[in-house]
This record gives sequence, structure tokens and C-alpha cells, in this order.
Amino acid sequence: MSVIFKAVTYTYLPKTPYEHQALRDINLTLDQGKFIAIIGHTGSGKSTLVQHINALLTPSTGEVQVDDFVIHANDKPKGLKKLRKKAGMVFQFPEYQLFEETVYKDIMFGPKNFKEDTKTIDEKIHSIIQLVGLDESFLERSPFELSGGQKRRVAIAGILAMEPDILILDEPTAGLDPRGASEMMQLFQRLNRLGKTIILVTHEMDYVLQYCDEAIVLKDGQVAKQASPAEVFSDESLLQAMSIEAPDCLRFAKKLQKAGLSLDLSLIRNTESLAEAILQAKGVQR
Amino acid sequence: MKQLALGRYIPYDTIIHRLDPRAKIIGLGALLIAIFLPMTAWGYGLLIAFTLLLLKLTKVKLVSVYRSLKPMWFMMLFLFVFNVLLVRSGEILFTIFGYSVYQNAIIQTISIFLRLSMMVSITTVLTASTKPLDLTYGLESLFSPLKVIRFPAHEIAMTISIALRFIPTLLEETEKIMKAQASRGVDLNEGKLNEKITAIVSLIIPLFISSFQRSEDLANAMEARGYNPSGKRTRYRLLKWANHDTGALIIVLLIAGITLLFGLYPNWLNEVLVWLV
Repeated sequence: MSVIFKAVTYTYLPKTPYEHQALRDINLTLDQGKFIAIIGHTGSGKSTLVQHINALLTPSTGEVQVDDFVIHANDKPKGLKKLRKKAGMVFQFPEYQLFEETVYKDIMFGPKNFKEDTKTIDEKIHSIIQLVGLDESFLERSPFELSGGQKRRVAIAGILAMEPDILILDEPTAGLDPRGASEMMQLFQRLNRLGKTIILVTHEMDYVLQYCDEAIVLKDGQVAKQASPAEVFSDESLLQAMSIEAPDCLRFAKKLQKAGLSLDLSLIRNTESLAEAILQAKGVQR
Repeated sequence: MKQLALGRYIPYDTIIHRLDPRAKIIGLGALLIAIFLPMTAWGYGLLIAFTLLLLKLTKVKLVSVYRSLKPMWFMMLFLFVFNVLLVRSGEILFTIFGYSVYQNAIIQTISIFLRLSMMVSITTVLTASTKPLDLTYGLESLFSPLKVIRFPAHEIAMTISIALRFIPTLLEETEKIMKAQASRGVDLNEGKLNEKITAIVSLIIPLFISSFQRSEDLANAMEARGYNPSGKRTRYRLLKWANHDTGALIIVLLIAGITLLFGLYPNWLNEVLVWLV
């Protein structure tokens, strides 16, 4: 179930004064089961890129392959519903997509569109609402009386109820408080461990380092680098060119390394693992 | 959604773009009057030529005018049927199933079609060549003499400019919500009637909610900056009426005037020629 981009370009509003080429010659393979981050500046084509995965956008040239779905440039693909069930998309501020009277009905909306049986959906909903960190008392409430963070959980539950194999997340933590954000990221990590491919568009480098297996750096609609987060953050010239700052714990570790402490930078993903590495370097037994 | 042609500003730098919005608004008014008053073939010829010239000068493609006319095809067909059934003057062109179709029915349909296309073209020229904000400033300036009789020119202009300002935002929002719902398996093009209704509801409710949210945010932001509708306000960019605006307006008024003359005194050209000779 990998996603393959072959020489994909995408142009917004071709042949008008507003013409804008958002993607240029993208060649990518996104492996199954990985937690992949897509990073880059605003306007570098991140959102455009991920919208190709469930065919919300179709390439201007080239082709996108998701499992056995192949989407060529300029053809009107059929059977999109199957693809959209397979690749679930959570947009930025997904709380805007809520519209039903109750949380229960809203979560049910996606699976129902995919003609799933009401009874199976009902069973799923009760476990999914807990998975996203809400309890069953929420099910009968109106989505519009919930707080921002709760609404977002409901919206994400609505996508999870479709049981997608690939979960695409466009800045899912934007506007959440730090605790809510890290709870959200832990949820995605759990889902990843359950076997789902996670594709995360983000500006939060801390999360990239802590949670992701792989990072894809986009610049002006082109892939500037595809590597492990540790490798991306050790590429000083790339970081400078993209004006990205490596996460604090990694920069701190680099300073320690310069000062003479021998640390394995590839093991450092967050503050805890940094502390662990320092202890180990110092030969302290716990 | 973004291909919307009618009413969209197209950023070129042409003679028409540089005209004062007031000149363009008055010109549009004059031409619209000329288009919808009775006229002769000469009048049609003159106005069509002038409309084409304006489109050319503004660099509006005929294709985009054609696209904005698309929703009107059905109406034209409807009109055609009615005209064929009701208009019973002129020569009989042909007879089908014992029903005669008169020449004037066809002529009338064609003339309505031409008038509508010209109206759409000329309005497109105005909106394509004038930034929405300039348009509202122009309107405000034209209506400001009416302030004497307590006509709220500024308030209306402000309301229009806010409404115009939010059209692209709402379109963007609509596109976003459509994509989000499409990701949840909504198909706006296919499906049974009740599925289509659910699809539209899933689009409209979020759109309403976010519009209300936006308008509340905007109202708060305006209030926070002390907005007072009756306050006296200066403006950074002023509208300046130049000689070429007067010139352009005279040309438009002449064209409209000549067309009117054709309509009112179909023989005026002959009479003038006779008088000259």
C-alpha cells in the first residue's frame, strides 16, 4: 500500500493571469506503515502534494499511484470513493467539516457514505470515540457546543471511522494548546503502530523529530530532501537554505558533542532520550 | 470554482483599466440604457462593434464571456419557444404540423440574445478592468451628492465593499469544505436525490457557521478600532478625474446617443445626408 509519485507537476489556474505552478517534477515513494512528515515553507506545495494522494487534485502531468489505483494526468478517474476510503484526509482546522446534529451522527457520516452497515458502524463508533480521547457521553451532544479541541477530536474520529489505511494530516495540531497537541500526536503514533501509514504536514520540527520515521522537505514545489528526521536536521546547509531551525534538544546535543561528549545523535528524539543519551555517555547506571 | 469568469477582476494594465471607475460606471449605465431601448439593425451593428472593441481593449477573452453566458442557454431556449408560440407578426417563415412560425419570432429571439450577450460583455468589461474596491469608491463618490437627503452613501459603499471582499474568501472556504466532505465520501455529482440533498446540507451548514463566525470577528475587529459609520474619513488613494476620462465618457455617450437616435428616428441618417446634400 505505498504511494508513488511519478514526475508529477501541478499547475493552478493554467492559462490565466493567475497561473501558478505548485508542484514541479515530483518523484516520491511513500512506504507503507511509515510515519512520514512533509515539511517546507508556506506555499512550498505541501498541501497540494498531499491532496493528490486521495485524488482531490489530479496531476497536470505525470501520475500518482496509490496501491492499485493509478491516476494519470488529465483523465477523470473513476471509483474515487474506494480511494478516498483507503486514504483518509484530515484537513487543517477539520472542525469546519462538522454539520450533523449529534457527534454520533457526524462520525457516522463518512462510513455511511461508503455504504457500510449501520450496526458495524455503531460498534466502531464506541471504540473510536475513546480512541480519540473523548468518552461516550459526547456521542449525543451537538458538535457545535464543544470546545475547539474537542471538535477537532470529533472531526478526526469521523475520518478514523472510515478505517483508512493511509491517514493524511494537514497540520492537525494548529491552534491546539501544547498538551492537546501532544496528546493528538500520541494518538497518531498509536494509529501508526496499529499499522496505518501516517502522512503528516507540519511546521512543528519537534514533532517531526520525535514521532516521524521519515521527513520529506519541499522547496518551491520540488523535493529538496527525503531522509530520516535525524539526517534532515543534521544537514546544516539545507536547514539554512530553508530557514528551518532544528529542535532544541538536537541543537543542545550538538553543542554537547562539540564540547567533547560523545553522543549518538540518531538516538535523540526528544528531551527524555537526550537525557538518556547523556547518562549513557557519562557512564551513569540507573 | 476558481474559473468563475463573470465579475472577476483581471489584473492587466490597459487603457480601460486606467480609466476612472466613475467614468466606467456612468459609461456602463449609458450603454445599458442604449442596449435595452428599441433599436434598428444599424444600432445593433454599432453597439456590437463597440462591445467587441471594448472586450479587445480590456483583453477579456470571448471564451470567458461565452462561459458566463452558459447558464442562460436554458432561458434562451425557453424564450425561443415562447416567442415561436406567441409572436404572430411578420412573414410566415415555415409551417410545421399546421403551425406557422413567423419571421418576427426568430428576429425577436435573436435580438434578446444579442442584448443579453452585450449586457454580460459590457458588465464583464467593467468588473474585469476595475478593482472591486475602486468600484465601490466610485459608487460612493457618485452617490455622495445624495448625502444631502440623508442617503447613506458611505455605509452602502462600505457594505458593498465588505461583501465584495468576502466573495473570494467564501469561495475558498466552499472549496475547502467541499474537499473535506469529498474526503468523507460525499459525491456532489453522482448519487440519488436524497444523497445529493445530504451532500448539499453537509456543505451549506459548515459554510453558514463559518460565515457567521467571520462576520462576528469582523464586527469585533472594526469596533475594536473604533469604527464609526458617520465619522469623517480620509483616504490614501483618491480618485482623480483626468482629461482622458472625460474623453472616454464623451465617446461612450456619443455611441449610446447615436444608437438611441437610430432607435427613435430610424431615418435620421438619411435625413441628415439629405440635408447635407
